[in-house]
Order: sequence, then structure tokens, then C-alpha cells
Amino acid sequence: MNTVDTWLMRPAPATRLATLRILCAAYATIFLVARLPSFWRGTTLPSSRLDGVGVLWFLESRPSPGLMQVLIVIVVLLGCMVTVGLRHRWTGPLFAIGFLIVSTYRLSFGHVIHTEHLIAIYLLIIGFSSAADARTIENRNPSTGAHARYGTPVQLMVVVLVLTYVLAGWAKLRHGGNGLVVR
Amino acid sequence: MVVGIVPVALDRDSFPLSTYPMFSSRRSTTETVDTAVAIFDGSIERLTPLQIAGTDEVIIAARTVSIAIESGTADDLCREILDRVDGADRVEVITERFDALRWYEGDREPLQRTVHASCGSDTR
Repeated sequence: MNTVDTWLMRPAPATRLATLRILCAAYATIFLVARLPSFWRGTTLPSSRLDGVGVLWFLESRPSPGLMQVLIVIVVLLGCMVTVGLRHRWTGPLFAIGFLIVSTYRLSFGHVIHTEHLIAIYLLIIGFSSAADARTIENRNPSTGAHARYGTPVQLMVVVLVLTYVLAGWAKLRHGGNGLVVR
Repeated sequence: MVVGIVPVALDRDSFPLSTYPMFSSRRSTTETVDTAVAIFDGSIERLTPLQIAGTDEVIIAARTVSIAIESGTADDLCREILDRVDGADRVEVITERFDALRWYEGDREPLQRTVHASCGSDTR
């Protein structure tokens, strides 16, 4: 195994990934609730302003506001379930995908804001990993040993974080030049 | 790797993959702002993002106005805003240029104001 593989497949205890699950899912759920008026109003904006981005690039007309509002409520409920580690095998991926869809929809009206990018990617990593083998209310024989399946998602999150700041730094140099003072 | 390579290869700001272009361009001391204002009895009143674009996101509201100006639909947006502002004599979709330093010192008068669309009871 080369150095990169060794670093990426580093074993970690289940509690580490589970703690990240709780922190990220709780943050995303609170964010959704706190910004609920913005998400809610976004469902009624006119179709003429719709400019689909990301996974909703194909959208040419606005879906039913009721449909989007129901989806927002479901995603909030899923966020609560993921936070407490309930049925993570299903709720983890569904919350990650649901958050991605409602966030993408909110940003599909002419301007992309950069507040949800990292958390959306984190939720996808957490949602599709074994992030509820510990610290869950289901209390099923919590895993105690360290394993790569708990460590790799954490390392991936580190890579995503570093890449994000590298891209942001590169953008500043590209658009603002070498002499730019970071503001 | 996808997170890093795809946005750079496509050179496109999207979600959740992005090139993070915000705040990366050089700024001058003057700033141009696309917005909309309402006129009540001859006096200009600034509008909220909710009144301008039906959203509470300031940047999305500003971008909505910019897109309307660029696409030649400022008149449509003007009427849409007029419906959301009770009692306004007129609504104007405008571009204003400010001296940013003077603005922060309290001088909020624009250096230049361009009216792209005007609608309301006194323009009908």
C-alpha cells in the first residue's frame, strides 16, 4: 500500500465518525430551520427566474411549490433522524440527497451563494458511510474497534476541506493577481 | 479529486462543486449596484430584497435585478415589484454607482444613477 492509500485508509474508532455525523447533521438541520423562510419563499419564485444549477441543471420550469415545501419538511425530519442515528442506512443517504436537492433549488434563481457547498459534500460522505455504528439512540451493540471504514470518510472530509480552500485561494490569485491582499 | 478537478476543468461556479470565485476580483473605490427604488410623494425609498425579488437573500435580489437589466426584462420586473409595494407612486429599476469610501463616511448619494425601467401610476 502506498503512502496515499495508507493515509486515506487510516483506521479510526466508530465514535469519531459518529461525532462528525451528529455535528454535521445537526448543523445542516438547524441551518434549514433557521433559513426556512428563505427556502420556503424560494418555492414560489417565478419560473422565469429559474436557472437550474448542479444536480437540477435540467430544470426549465418551477416544480409545484407544495411539492418542494413537502420535500423541505421531509428533509428537516430526516436531518433529525440522522442526528440521533436512527435508521442511518436509509436516512443517511436520503438526508444527504434531500439536502442537496433543496439547497440546489434555492440557489437555482440566478446566483450561487457559497454557504452550503461544504456541508452538502460532507453530508454525502457521511450519509453513504457507516456513520451510525456508535452514538445512536438505536443502541445496537456499538462498534468499539478502529477500522478504515470509519477513518476513510473522515480523511475524505479533510481532503474536501483542503481542496475547497486551495480552489478559493487559486481563484483569488487568478482573478485578483499575485498582489491581492486577502480581504 | 472530483471536488477539485471538475470545477476547474469546467471553469464554472455551481453547487455543490464550485471554483469559489466570490470576493476574488480586484475592487476599485467605486461600486456599481443594480437595484430598485420606490417613489412616494416625490421622495425615493429603498426597497428590501423581499420587495425587489421575493427573497430575503440580498445577493440573489441584486442578481435578479442585474439579470433583468441584462436580458431586457427590466419593465416586467418593475411591474412585479410595483405589485409588492403598497402605495408607491412609481417604481424604478436602476443602476447606481457609489464612491464606497464616501458611502461608509455617511455620504449615500450616488455618483451616477441610470434608470432602466420606470412604472407606476404617474407613468401610466
